[in-house]
Amino acid sequence: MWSLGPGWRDEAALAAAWREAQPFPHLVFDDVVPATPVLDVLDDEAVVRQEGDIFCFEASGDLHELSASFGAVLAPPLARITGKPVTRAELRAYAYRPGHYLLPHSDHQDGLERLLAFAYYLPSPEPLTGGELELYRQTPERIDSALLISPEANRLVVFDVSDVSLHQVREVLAGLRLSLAGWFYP
Amino acid sequence: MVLPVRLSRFTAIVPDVGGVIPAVAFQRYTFVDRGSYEFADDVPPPPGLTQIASELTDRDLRVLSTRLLRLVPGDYLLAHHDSMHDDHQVEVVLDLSHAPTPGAEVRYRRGRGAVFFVVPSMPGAAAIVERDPTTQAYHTYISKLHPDASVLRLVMRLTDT
Repeated sequence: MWSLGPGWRDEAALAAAWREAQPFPHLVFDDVVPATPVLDVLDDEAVVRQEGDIFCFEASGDLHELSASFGAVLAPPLARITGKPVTRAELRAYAYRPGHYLLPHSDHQDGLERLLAFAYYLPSPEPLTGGELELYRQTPERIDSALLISPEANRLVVFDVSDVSLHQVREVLAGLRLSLAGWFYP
Repeated sequence: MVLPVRLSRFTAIVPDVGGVIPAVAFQRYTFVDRGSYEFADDVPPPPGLTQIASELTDRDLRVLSTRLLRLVPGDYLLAHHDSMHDDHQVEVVLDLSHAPTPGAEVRYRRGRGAVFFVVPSMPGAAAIVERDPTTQAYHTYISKLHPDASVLRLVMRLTDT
């Protein structure tokens, strides 16, 4: 279901880019294209509003078929590129409407075995304001915003899961931000 | 318990607290994985509020701390930034905002469990919560869709004398 563009061919260069990326290891791909439009697959999926102290958005349940196809295509090259022994992915669909957000946090939790996090952005049916992925540089003394990644359609962002991989989704102020997001596991 | 201040003995309390606010120097706290807000500590506790909390909880209480919190669009205070204690403290939240802000709430939960109590954005209202050692509170994110929002809360912690 997924095809990887020419940007994936030079894995040695990608591995170097991964290691050198700041504020923590990450990669941005703009040529990951589903052979079948993902929005068609998601048509029948229910999304539910979810809210906690750090988040407010709408999310689907686990999308097992989509997770399997995504993991089968992407886990092998990502394992070689990042050096992390990932073999499978789990993902959900997310819809951020105006007022929705995900505040700064790290995805690391003991016992969950999340090795890599990812977000894949779908075309927005409405012009979007806000909703950028923001990465932070964290030191014992302070935390600073370091990078903003715009949620462009067909863009895949993969980033390291660790205690210092602090990130947030900025509040959506207008439009609709649609994405698939989740983690790669051993 | 949320009490509408203007319908109770709190009527005399709100002006007293409001009077100290212009003289308060707020400090900004920003550690993005914990909270983003302005605060001022050691604000004089409103006269009478401790007594009312004592009567409502049937306990003999004294003030441990008072803190003014001001949250503007983009601000929040997360649950794991909340301080937890083994003793069963009483927390009073007095909303001193000039206007309500949609979605601006204080929510209480036990551990990572479901929220069991919500303090709405209701200027002039006071909430009294008896905390147990697992109680966590958080102040929700203030949406930038409300650019003029300014949420002002007095948070008092009380314990047994």
